This record gives sequence, C-alpha cells and structure tokens, in this order.
Amino acid sequence: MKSIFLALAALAFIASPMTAHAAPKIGEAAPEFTGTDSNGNVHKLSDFKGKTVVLEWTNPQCPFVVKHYDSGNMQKLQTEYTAKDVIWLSINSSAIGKEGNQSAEEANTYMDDKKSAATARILDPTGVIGKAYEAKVTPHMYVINKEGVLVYEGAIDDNDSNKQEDIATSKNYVKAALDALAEGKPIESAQTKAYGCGVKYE
Amino acid sequence: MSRFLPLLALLAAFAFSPALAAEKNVQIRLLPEKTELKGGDTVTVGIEETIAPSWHTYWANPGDSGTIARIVWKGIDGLEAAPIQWPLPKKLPIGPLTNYGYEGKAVLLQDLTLPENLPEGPQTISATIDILVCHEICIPETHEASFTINNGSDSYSEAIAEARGFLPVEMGWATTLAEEAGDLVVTITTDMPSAFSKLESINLFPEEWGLILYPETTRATREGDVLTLRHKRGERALADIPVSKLVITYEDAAGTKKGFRVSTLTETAGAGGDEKTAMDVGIFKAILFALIGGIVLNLMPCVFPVLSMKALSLVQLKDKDIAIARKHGVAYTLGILACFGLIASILIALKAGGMQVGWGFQLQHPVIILFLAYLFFLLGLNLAGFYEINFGLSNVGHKLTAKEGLSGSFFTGALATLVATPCTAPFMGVAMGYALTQPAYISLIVFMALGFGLALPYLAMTFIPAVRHVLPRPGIWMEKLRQFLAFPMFASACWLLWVLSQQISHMGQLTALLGMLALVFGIWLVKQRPSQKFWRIVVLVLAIASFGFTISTFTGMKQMPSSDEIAVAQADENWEEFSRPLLEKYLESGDPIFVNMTAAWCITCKVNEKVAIATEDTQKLFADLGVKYLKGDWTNQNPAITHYLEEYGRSGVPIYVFYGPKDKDTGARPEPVVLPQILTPSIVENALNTK
Repeated sequence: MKSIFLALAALAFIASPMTAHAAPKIGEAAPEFTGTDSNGNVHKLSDFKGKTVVLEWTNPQCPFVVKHYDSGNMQKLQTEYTAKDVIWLSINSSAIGKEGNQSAEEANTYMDDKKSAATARILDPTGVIGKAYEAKVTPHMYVINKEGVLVYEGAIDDNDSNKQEDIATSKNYVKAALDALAEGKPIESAQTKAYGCGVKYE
Repeated sequence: MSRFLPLLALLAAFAFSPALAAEKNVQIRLLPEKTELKGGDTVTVGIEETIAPSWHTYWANPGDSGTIARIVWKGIDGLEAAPIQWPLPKKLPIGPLTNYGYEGKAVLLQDLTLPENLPEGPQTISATIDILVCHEICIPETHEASFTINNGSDSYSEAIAEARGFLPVEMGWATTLAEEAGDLVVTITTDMPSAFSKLESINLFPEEWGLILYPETTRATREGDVLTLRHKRGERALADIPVSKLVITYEDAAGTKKGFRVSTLTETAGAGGDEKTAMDVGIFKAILFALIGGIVLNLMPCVFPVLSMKALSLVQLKDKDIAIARKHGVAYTLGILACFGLIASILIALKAGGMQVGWGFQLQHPVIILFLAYLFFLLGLNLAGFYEINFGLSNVGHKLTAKEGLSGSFFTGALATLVATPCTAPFMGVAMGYALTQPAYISLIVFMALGFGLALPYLAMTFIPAVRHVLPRPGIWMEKLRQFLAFPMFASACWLLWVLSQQISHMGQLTALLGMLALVFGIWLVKQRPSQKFWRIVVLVLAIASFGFTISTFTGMKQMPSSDEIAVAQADENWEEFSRPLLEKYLESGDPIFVNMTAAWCITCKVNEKVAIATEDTQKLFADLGVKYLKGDWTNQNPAITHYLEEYGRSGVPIYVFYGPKDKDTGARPEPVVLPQILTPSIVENALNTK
C-alpha cells in the first residue's frame, strides 16, 4: 500500500509544475529551515540528522491547543518521546499582534507553566517556517525520520472535537507514527486531515 | 402559556443580563417542521445558527482550519438522526488560509426518526450542539436546545421549506475526477448546460479534505453539456478517496446563488444519465416537429389574417404572371427566415450570456407586449379600411408587380413572424426545447425549419398554380373578407392587453389604452387635409403630439417584480405556487403531485386549464386522489421555472408533469409522466389513474 502511495505521490510531483516553494510531501526530504527558540538558540533542521524530529504548530490561545495542553496530552507525548531521543520542536507562527503571539519571555513562562517537555519552542512570527511547511492549523503535526524525510503530516489524533474527555478514546496518529518508526514498520496513516484553529499568520 | 415561557425567559435575559447574550457568538434555535407526530414518523429539524457579525461557522468540510458542528440528540429513547444536510457554503479567506462556512445565518437540516413505541403525550427532544465559531480567533461553544412535540407547540414548516432552498440539489450527473498538470480536473456531464453561463461564478467545494488547495480559485469551462472544473490539487492522494461528493455553487443569470451536489460514484451517475437520454429528441425529429409547428402557426388567429391577405393578392394573378408570384413567394419566405434568424440569434446570444430564457421570452417584457398590441391594433384598423398604408397586406384589388411589391412581401414575412410569436403551436414545445439545449448552429437550423414551415403554405401557392385555382374568383367578397379579418386582429390586441394587465400596474394599463386612443386620433388627423396652411400646421402638430404620446407610453411599462398579485387573486383555487423547495418537500412525502407551468400569454395553457384542469371533474379527481397541485407562472421571468422546463427538455410553457404516489410497499415513486401539450379531461384522468 505504501509503495503505491509513494508512486502516486511521485507521479503527482512529476505532473505538477515546479512552484517557488515546493510543498512538503510525504516520502520526500522535509524542507530545511532555520529558527530561533525562546532561549535565543538557533536551530536548523539539518542539525538533527540522525534523529527523529516532531514539529508541532502551536498557539497557546487556540481552544484545540488548550484541549491537548490542559489535559496534559501533549506534554505526555513530549515527555515520552524526547526520552526516546526524539527531537520535539513546538513552533509558534502567530504574527505580532495576532492571537497567540508570544515574546521569548512569555514563551518560557508558558512552557514552565504548562510543564512542556518539548526540546525547544521556536518563535516564527513572520510565518516563514509555517509557510514552508504549509502549516494550516494549530495543532498541525509533522514527523521527520532520521534521514530527514517527511513521514507524517496532519492531525494529532482522529477526533477533531475540542473536548478533553474525547482524548481517551481517540487514536493518536503522532504516537502511532513514532512507534512505527521505532519498530521499523510502515506508517499506517501517513497523512490525515489536520484540525484546529487556523495559524494566525500576518 | 407554555409557548410564551421561552419568550419570557429570552426577554428576561435581554433585560437583566445583556452581558450574557453577548457571551455567545452563535445563537441556536431548533425549528421542527412538524410538532404533531406519532411513533415511526420522521421529522425534519432545522438547526438555525445566527452568527454574530464578522464571525463564521463551518461547512461539512471546514477547509484549511476549523471543525464541523457536532449534534447529539437525546430526550427520547430510540431516536434516530440522519446525517446533517448542509446548506451551500461560502469561501471565507482568512489571511493565507481559506475556510468553507457560513456567516450571518445558516440553517442545517437533520431528519429525526421517532421510535415506533413513542410514549403518549408531550415529549421533549433536546440537542447538545458543539460548534466552533471563529473570526480571527476561534471559540468553541456548547449549546443546549430543545423542542417539544405533541403539545401544540409551533412548527416551522415555512422556515424549513426556505432552508431546503439553500441546500445543494442532488444531481445524478456523471462525474469523473482526474489529475492534470497539478490540477484536479472535475468533468461533469450535465443536462442543463445553459444554467452554467456565468462560468466565473462557479466554485468547487469537495466534501472530502485534501482534494484541492482551498485558497485557489476554481476555473470552469463548458463545451456542449460537459462542464469542466479545474482547481489546484491538494495534498491527499486521489486513490485515498474512492468516492468523492462534490458541491458546486454557481450564480444563475439573475445572480442568485445556487448549488448542486454530485458524486463520483459511477453507478448512480450511470442511472441518472440513462433517464435523461430518454427525453432527447433526435435532430431530424426536431426539424420535422419545427416544420409542422411552423405550418400549424399559419392557422393561429394572429397569423391567419396575414396569410389570408397574402393569399388573396394571388387570386388575381394570371398563370402567365407565375414568375412574379414566385418571386413574391421567395421574398416572403426570406422575410420570415430573416426575422426568425434574428430572434433565434438574440435568444441564443441571451442564453450564452447566461439569461434564463426560453421560447416566448419575447413576451416576458411588457414593452414588447405593448408593441405587439399596438401592431395588431394598427393592422386591424388597416384591414378594416380606416386608413390605407401598405403593410404589404393592402394590395388587394391591385395587381402584384415585380417592381413595387417585392420588398413589401419581404416585410410581410417579417410581420408574419412578429405576429406569430405569441402563438406557441403545440408541436413547437419539444422542438424548441431541443433546439435551445443544442449548440448554436443546431438551434439555428431548428428555428429556420420553424420559419420555413410558417412560410410554406404561401410559398406553395406561389409555386403551384393548381393550389391557387382552388381559390374563388375575385369579387366584392374579397373586400368584405378583408374587413372581416380585422376582427381576429382586434381580438389578438385585446388578448395582448389582458396579458399586459398581468405584467403591469392598473395605471400602466390605462396608459396603454390611452396610447391606442392617441394612435387612432393621430391617424385620423393625418387623414385630414385642410386647405388652409394654419390648420395644416395645427393638424401636423397634433398628429406629432399624438404619436409622440403613443411612443412615450413604452417608458411606463415597468415589470412587476413577481406574480404575487395573481397568486393572491386565485388563492381560493386549489393550487399552490410552484417552488423547488415545495416540490422537493412533496416529493419526499408520498402524495401524488401535478405540476402545471403556465403563462398569461400562453393561449394553449389557458385553454388547457379551462377545458381539462379547472373543471369540476378534474378538481374532484385531484381531491379524491389527494393530488398536490403546483402551478408555476412564467408570465414574467422566473429562473426556477426555466430550470424546471429544461429538466424536461422544454424551453417553453405549457408543461404538465404528473408524479404518481409512492408505492406503499417499496416507498419508490414511479417515473414522472409528462402529459401532452394539448389536454382533454380524459388525458388528465388517464394520467392520474395509471399506476
């Protein structure tokens, strides 16, 4: 199944005209980016070659992000997988003056407050990284394998409600993808419909 | 009393805690279509969202972000809810993202089926509605709403009917998806291609996510009956989506937003396609019908006098003049064809430009009706001998000469076409309907065949001397006949004035009558030839003033917006005004339905109604069988009716369609029966009684 999917994706790529920034595609190299985190450290995707990377688009005021943070669901995932040597980058692409935009200080306070276990929180108020990945919502999740290839893109789980109590009965796509990677198995759902609030770009 | 309680509560909420009302960005009301229900019944409930200004909620596919409303019903055990029916969405660009959703107000519909063992007495059905409302930011809201059945509470059948009007119309059109140069290519074979004339207004809304990039625009093209939509492809592989449901919105010629829903599932598409081809008429059949229709037109009261006068002019011709006669025949035919060609071209151009027009469209504008009324009146006066101006008719008693008469014959042909337009001959409906759904050149051929049919009797007389010899010898009878023929002309004028009365106000009618008066007065003045110069000038000025007044009456012809007045005036008759939602509603119920599309200017329609429908027997039959009788008035422009006519391959009225009752066992409705355009009571009776 996966090979058919890849073949189709490749075909689609050949058939489509080259655009200025090629949209990220499952099975292809994830777009390179450089971003500064809330502690002023600069991160490049290529720095993490050899490690699995999770990108999590976030906006502290979005009700769907609140669902996964107030329930502790997101932090639990972060804790579990960073312990397994996965790099977890939370990316905030809310533009200055828009909902959810954070200064470095605010971001650090928030991370402490929420007990975030992400490797780093990258601030992307110009939306450069968000647009390179065509991140549409918060939370929009991406998984990049050790070779730098995008292997998962979409929702955090299969229940697009905003209710915390639904988390227990939802199938978590990110967890499934990371576990499959670790076991060397194919990822069953490599692309799903991301749900949530629109990213507050400029 | 109980029904006022919510109202009081609402008032109290507004009066004492305005902050409370402001907290929510959506107000929800439940609108049950019926509230008197028994076990096993299905009731449609509207979930009405009143959305605060600048906020929006989401469609079945919310687009780049957002989520759909979730509705959980409770209150009665065993209550079953069908999937939500979503009204037509709007494209809502938010920065670089695009959502599909609603602003202002939206009514979702959901069918609820009650359990067979519904307890006696009042029952309250409630819903928990989780809805996400956003503008720049998003706020999830949870609403509790309820309604009570079987306690005499208000029902909202009108609001539901209105809400159904905003749903996409389900179409079984063959639809395929393909991928081409980074585009999703949707190919739809439609049977009402002319509806999609405003191609730039067309928007594609897939119900499945990831098919297209939402912020991009849909590019539509149409060739014949194939509509092709191109839209930048989204991220999801086509193979992932075995069946796609697509909603396509467009604007009709009047700028009204409409939409339909198709599925790429091949089975249903095939079935829908077959059904429609049965209504196709071959081109040769259409030409034949048009030809016969044209010949029959000659017998219509409006055309007959023109033809008669033309024929009389032939009586005096000797056989040696046959060459001249032939030239006249050809000139007359050319006149008709030129005029038909002109009308057909206008019609085709209007269609191409997106107008919802059909044959008879000329008569939907009061200015044209008034013009024709004046024309018939003038022709009548001419025939009666009130004045002598050569309309090409008055050459009775004169010999046709090759020199003077040819252009006259040409214009008589044009005149014959003009006066023929109000009389839609029965054979013409199908042919015209066919013609207008075809490419322009076929339309033109069919119209030309109609024109040729109209010209044929006279042409035959000029070419075949034997036909002429059937006519009696010239004599005083010709003058008497000519005067007599004025009366069909006056009758036609009377009828046109009546048609006009359906289209304009009472003052407009008076203006039209005064216009006629001024016309006669002007002609009378012109006939005066006073010897003194002073009086000549007075007569001239008055004549100009009179004719000027007549011409000025055209400016007063404003179309009334709708046929409401007629509907009110005839409300005591047992019919309801046709509307698509009402038809859909009745189609869902099991009752038989009779649809009658009519227009004030359609004589066939009026005769049929008088003879076969409005009779006591037929009305009793309707009542006995529980027939829902829907009548559509096409006197003025009405896109909904034009749409309906097109579905049945017609472009003009009348059309009579009977939908038999649903089979009690299978719940299936038999194929609708299209009745002939000439009705008798027995035809109606037979149609209604066949199972």
